[in-house]
Amino acid sequence: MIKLTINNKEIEAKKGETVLEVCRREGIYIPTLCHQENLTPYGGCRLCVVEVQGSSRPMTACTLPVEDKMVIRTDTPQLHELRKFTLQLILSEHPYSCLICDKTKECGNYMECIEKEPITFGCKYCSKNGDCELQRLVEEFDIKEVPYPFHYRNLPVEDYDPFFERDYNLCVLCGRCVRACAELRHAFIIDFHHRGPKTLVGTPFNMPHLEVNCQFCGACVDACPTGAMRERYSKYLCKGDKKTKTYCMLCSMGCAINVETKENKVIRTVPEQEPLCVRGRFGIAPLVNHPKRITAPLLKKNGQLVEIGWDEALDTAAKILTDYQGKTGIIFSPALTLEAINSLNTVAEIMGVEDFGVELSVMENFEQVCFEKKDKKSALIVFNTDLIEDFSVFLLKLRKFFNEKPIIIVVDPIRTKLAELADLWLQIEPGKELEILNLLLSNEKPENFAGVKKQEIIEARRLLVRREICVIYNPKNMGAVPLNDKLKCYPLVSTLNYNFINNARMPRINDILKNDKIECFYLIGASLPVSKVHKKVIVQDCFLPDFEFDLFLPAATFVETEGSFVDLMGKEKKLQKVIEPYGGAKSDEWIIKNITERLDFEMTKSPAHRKSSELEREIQESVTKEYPFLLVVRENGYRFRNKPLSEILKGFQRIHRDGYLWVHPEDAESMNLKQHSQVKIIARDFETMMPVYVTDRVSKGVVFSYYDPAKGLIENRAVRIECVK
Amino acid sequence: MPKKKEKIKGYRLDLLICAGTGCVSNRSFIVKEALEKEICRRGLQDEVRVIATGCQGFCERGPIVIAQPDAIFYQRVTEKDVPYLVEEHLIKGRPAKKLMYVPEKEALPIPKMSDIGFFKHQRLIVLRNRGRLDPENIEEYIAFDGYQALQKVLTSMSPEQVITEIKKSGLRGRGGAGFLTGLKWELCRSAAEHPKYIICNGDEGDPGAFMDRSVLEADPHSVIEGMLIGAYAIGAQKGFIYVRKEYPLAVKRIHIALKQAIDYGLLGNNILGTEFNFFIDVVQGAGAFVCGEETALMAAIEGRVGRPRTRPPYPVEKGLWGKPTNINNVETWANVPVIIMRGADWFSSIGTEKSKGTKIFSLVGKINNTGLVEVPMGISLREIIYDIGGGIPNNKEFKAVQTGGPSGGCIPKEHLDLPIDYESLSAVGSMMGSGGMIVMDEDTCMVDVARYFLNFTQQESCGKCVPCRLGTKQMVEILNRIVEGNGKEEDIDLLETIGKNVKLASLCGLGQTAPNPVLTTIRYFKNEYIAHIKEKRCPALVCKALISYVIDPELCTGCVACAKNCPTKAITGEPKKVYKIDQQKCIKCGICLTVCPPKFNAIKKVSPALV
Repeated sequence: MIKLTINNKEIEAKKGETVLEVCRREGIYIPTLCHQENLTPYGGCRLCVVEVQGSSRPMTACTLPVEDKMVIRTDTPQLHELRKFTLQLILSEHPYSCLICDKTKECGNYMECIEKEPITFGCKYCSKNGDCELQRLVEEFDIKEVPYPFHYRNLPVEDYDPFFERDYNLCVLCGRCVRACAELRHAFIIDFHHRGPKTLVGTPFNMPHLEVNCQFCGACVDACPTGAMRERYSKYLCKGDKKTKTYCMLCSMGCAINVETKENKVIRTVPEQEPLCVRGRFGIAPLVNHPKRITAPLLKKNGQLVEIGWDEALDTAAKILTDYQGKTGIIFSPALTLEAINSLNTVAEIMGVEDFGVELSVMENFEQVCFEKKDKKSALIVFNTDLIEDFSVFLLKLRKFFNEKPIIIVVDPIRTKLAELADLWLQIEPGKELEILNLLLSNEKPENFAGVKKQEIIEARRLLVRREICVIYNPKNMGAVPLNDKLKCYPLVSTLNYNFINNARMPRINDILKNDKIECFYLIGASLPVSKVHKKVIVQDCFLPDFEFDLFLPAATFVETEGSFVDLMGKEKKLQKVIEPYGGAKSDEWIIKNITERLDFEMTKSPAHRKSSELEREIQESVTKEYPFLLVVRENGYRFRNKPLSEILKGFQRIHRDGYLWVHPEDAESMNLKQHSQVKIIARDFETMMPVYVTDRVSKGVVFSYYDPAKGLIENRAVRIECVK
Repeated sequence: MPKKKEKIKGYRLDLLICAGTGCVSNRSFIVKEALEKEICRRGLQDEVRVIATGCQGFCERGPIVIAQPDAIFYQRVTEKDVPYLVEEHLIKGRPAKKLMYVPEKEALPIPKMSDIGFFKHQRLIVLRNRGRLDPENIEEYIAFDGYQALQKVLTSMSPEQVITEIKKSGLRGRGGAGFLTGLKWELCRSAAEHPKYIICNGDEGDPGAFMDRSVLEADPHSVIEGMLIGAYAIGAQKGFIYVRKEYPLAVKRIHIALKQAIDYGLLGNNILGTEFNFFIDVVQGAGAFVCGEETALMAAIEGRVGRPRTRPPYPVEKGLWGKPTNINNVETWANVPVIIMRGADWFSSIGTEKSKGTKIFSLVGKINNTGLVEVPMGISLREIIYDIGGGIPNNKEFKAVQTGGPSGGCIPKEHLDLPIDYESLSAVGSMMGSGGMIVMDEDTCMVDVARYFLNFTQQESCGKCVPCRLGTKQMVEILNRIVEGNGKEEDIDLLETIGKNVKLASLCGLGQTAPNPVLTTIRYFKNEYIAHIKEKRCPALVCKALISYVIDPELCTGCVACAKNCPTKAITGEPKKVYKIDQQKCIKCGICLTVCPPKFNAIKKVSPALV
């Protein structure tokens, strides 16, 4: 234990603590600006200076380690003057007119529309108004004037990237965003440019964030003490009045989020403690408040959709289900709460529905993902999974488990973001992923194999020497599953409740589609290739589907409901109801229960033969002359219930190209395809239309698309592509 | 161990030609070639040898040729002088008088190097080998007792003894801060973690300073030997020499020296047959002044942006890659072998009570003998400027001397007799720094000088901490408005307040010293500031906005020289009559002043400005 004296008070501290940490713990106030608890101390803003006995000049508390018998003063007039001086200097570069104006309070009452003010030149027009650390400091130091001329950097606002924009005219160069990007996210997208008074924060060569592989996780936005970095969606909404903790249900990680609300409206979601990804940080608020959300039940009457009341809607639903008993298929999105799934199960049991299933393509014996701390040197072999795009938060957690940075080898036919950063990327032909694993682990003489060069195999073996190997794969993206006793295998899926559904052994969507008895569908957050043979379709969702339906029941989103779900690690998480459902929407559970109550028949015995999840794997199709391209289908981690996020929110369109068929530039040229031109994809068993995204992320002869059951894109297929004018 | 030596051939005469950067840029390599050709032509190649040496220090007079063994000093030798020099000195055996150095105001040349004032008052320890050996040949260094100190240390001293010796010598860091070198080594040695690193800081960014460059160019092995001894004492196995990329010759010579040292078994594993292993890497700087700061330098070596971090933890605890690191400046390392060889007592007998040994200064500015001088601590400024430097050119009056690089202070005439050491310099508001010394005469405007240096430090600030980034910027802006004639009365106080606070609140040495030029010029030359602000007058007639060019009607003869050369046609008049400058049109380029024939000397500068 170390004993030190702060402001004449004896205080005990641990070795390795900083003076600031000790002061914070003891309730001794020291102003800071560049300091953030989860980042390494920076010592740049010089506001936390303290006097240390024996030192000729003041030291920054945030960087100063405690020492035994240290004598520290934090509150002398000289320190106050020095801090005030520094703060005034900071203000000389930050629009301060509102900060020092004596009419600020009265002026605030005359609220103009800040959306009409393209340039922020005062707090009144700043999105951080009321939540700004600089504002708080100015108030605290009671600064009434700034003796220096104001220097406005006059930079254009960087508003060309999705999700957030940057106005570096407001930047105070505290470096928090830079450190957050590097330390919290290992992304290294932004850093300081230039030096001296020209110093600025920016990306390499000032390229848009979109072009430098930014993950748009928002760590920088959350770190910014001023309005320099701001979320686009909520920039005019200013500060919320309430924060509620709940969980994000946009992928299987189920991260904790803090939902900021203002008058029963979700303004933004911010990380609770652990970092968030783009979906949780920027996806939720605009999704909940989306103008296209349907909030009243809709019924098709004479070919027209008509808004109806809930009573009528529930009665109609119950009537349809009763009418079509025995001919109804119930399909639901796995992204429902457990309570909703359980109630659905009850409905299915009551009705004796045979075809009751979840919208999942492949079922596996699913091990729970759990990691223990590893001291050994490790290597990760990642199969067909983009950890950066789909599981960035998982990857960050993963890093903490290893004492030493693990080697990452990516085996993937597609050049994913992870492949670009991995130690080695083996671009293998689709379908041969597992064979290469055996080749890497064996002692066989290396040879060129399925697109992987001999040298690469030698290099991979060299990297793997004396390392503990962990295999990470997404079972939904694999034709088969690596089974190797020697290896630790960790399956990752973006789908929620995977474990729960798996244990219940519910059938997969393909089996249901093959049942031609079905005339009616009840789709809860799921989409299907619905055709004319289906006489009645009930849809329960937040957004309108792009197929015909008869009844629409508006569901509430996960921030508007209570309930629980199971995350990737198999942990059950309880949702908080943050706000009342938007408009007339109701929670899935409520809707299902109410329909159940109105069903007009006795409960049958439990169905005789519920489809089991036994699988016959499709054998990898090989390309032929007729079907010259191999279509690779991947799980889409960017979905809300059945809908790709990119269909709902514009920003996701730009960072995640789902809904496109990815084609190699040379293939595109040979077929005379241009960016976004429409093509027809023809496989042996389906046909669909899609726009083209020309990219060299796929190799020649391979085309790629995200999983989309409504279009029939479920598994890898050999396909033919035809250009549509 | 050194490989089998070739027998060194004896020569009748050695011509040592300076190949420091200063002389090289004065074509000394061409002179060397011409000399060799001429010697061959005269058939003297077996009797006379031409050797390129490191910097001689007397850069003002380059290229320099010294004829040994008599130490005859020839200066400003061009390739045209070569036949004359060979004819006179080598064939006829008499000194070539035309090429000898003649001090200002004297008539007779001084043939011997040791008699020349510039050299006479110097005391060479670090620069002991300057100009006497070929820096690209390790054998010459060995011949002058090189690597003997290393041998002594490895065979007869324990690391603790080495540290005690260095501590006893009182050697202080020559990089500027003046921390006791032995103490630093001891702290680094006692740090618990391993491995340990040592660094040689050769990132000499001060404008006009070239001490480190000169040492590295003239005697790279002395630095390597110093590092070897330091590494042995501290327990390090790996060292780095961080040198500016702008010093290509120094970089080249370090690389040659390192290679030779490895070949001779003086670097690498089992040095001189002992258990001691040591390796050195060279890292080239990328042109940032702030990288001379130790923590920024280490960040740069690690491959990060060269920005300082706060201390503590100090590098001796957590340095390169978080490991204990000892960082010393080039000059400090070069001192080490001599201290070991000649003993701490001998070393500490030189200098003042608290500052021992010698210090190299690069003497530049308005001074007759520009060059590199090594003097014992405690010598007065007057001795350096007048006895060694030869005084101020053109009979101008001395005004101030700025020591310690761009963030040193300006010392006025009153303090000329100040004995130089770390404490006395900081007492007068300046600092030792790495040893820049810029002499200023009466034609220098002190406000303008302060603005110039502050502008430099401002631009070279890394931008990390607020006081340095914005405080210096505000000061530059205030100084700009003063020299433009827009100064306000409260500006002097404001400058002092900002300067004081920037010094206190800044993160690293750059910001902590950057205001020095302003604060000292305000302290010693406040009247100049007042003249600028109140009277809008620049006493030294430098600040453009505050002066006007006028034609003295008494002196002008109407020779048309000025009118013809005026770029804006501001000068009008008739030939043979007095001309006049139209102040509205004049852009104050000063061409008229330079073209006006000295015999008329009719153009005058006046301040305050006429318009």
